[in-house]
Amino acid sequence: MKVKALLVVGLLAMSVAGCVAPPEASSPPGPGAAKVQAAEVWARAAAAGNSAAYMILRNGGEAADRLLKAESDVAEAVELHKSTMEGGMMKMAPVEIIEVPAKGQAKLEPGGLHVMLIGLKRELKAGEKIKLKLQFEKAGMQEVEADVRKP
Amino acid sequence: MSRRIHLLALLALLMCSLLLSACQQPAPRKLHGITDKMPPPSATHLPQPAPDLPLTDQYGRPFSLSMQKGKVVIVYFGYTSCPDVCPVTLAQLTQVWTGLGPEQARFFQPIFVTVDPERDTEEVIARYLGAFDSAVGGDQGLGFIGLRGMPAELDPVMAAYDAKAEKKPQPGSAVGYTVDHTAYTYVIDTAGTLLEWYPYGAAVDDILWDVRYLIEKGTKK
Repeated sequence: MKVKALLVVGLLAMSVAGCVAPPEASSPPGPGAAKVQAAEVWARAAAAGNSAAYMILRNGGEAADRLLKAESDVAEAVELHKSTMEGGMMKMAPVEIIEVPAKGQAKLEPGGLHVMLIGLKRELKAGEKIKLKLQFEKAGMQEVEADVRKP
Repeated sequence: MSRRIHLLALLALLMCSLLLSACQQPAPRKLHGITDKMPPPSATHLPQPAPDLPLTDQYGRPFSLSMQKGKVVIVYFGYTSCPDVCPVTLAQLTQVWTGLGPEQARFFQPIFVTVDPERDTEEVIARYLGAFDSAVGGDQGLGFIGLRGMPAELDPVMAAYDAKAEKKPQPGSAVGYTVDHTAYTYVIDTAGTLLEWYPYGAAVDDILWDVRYLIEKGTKK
């Protein structure tokens, strides 16, 4: 009987432990390090025409920041765009900035916000990496690498 | 509680489950998309004979849906300079295709219809779709069909599918213009009947299940 009870308690404890989310992983901000960091940066492989890049922008700082623009050598022009579904219609239009809330994040993902690579100068092949420059209002210019993935 | 009651209860349970399993019909097969009517505004009843797509393919050849009888066909309206949403759907269809396996893959044909014939020339469409074909066995003659038609040919097709597209100038953007469009996925069976459609964001597994079921049904002698 005692053994059983112990077992139940043990199992309960384990399940509770399993439910607790691990503490948010955060990189220690070095002196003068940018508060906003881009993670999981990737771009869609494309033979020609346009493509898009996606990422998660994490802001560890106390103040909101804004992504003002992006640049890349692989495309004629780089803009910030957003796709939205409205009344069954998929719409896409440029956005001025992308807000990264304080102690929060902005997700750039398919079907939503994205960095649009307009007029590819060359083919983007799955497996390679491309460079993107991100200009933030407060965090300044950051260069990141995007993994090119299958379309 | 006495042991006898326990035993009786167990027996009753066993009998019940036995009876149930004996009576149970095989679960009715049900498609996962929207099967009762077309998208608004027409909302006409489904199923219906699939409206033809008398347009030109990416190699410049005239196309007719009747050429695809015996295959499960999926139709999607989009445009190639849409780099965000359209590739998601095409990538999903690629996953459906590879998910079918080599036997059934021959009985599946996704079709991309451009809503931007101005920029999407046959050459542009061919290059765009080529990126997806490599994943599905392009070397074995399998591949997306890309269709294009000038407004006089395209508009009636889109109307028949309740698909809509609106050109939106984007002054100040290097894209020049974008095309707002419905992002539905239509499913046509091996006999050429339009059975269902999916709104944007459908699960690959649902589409795969439907396509596989329709291929099995359509190729059974």
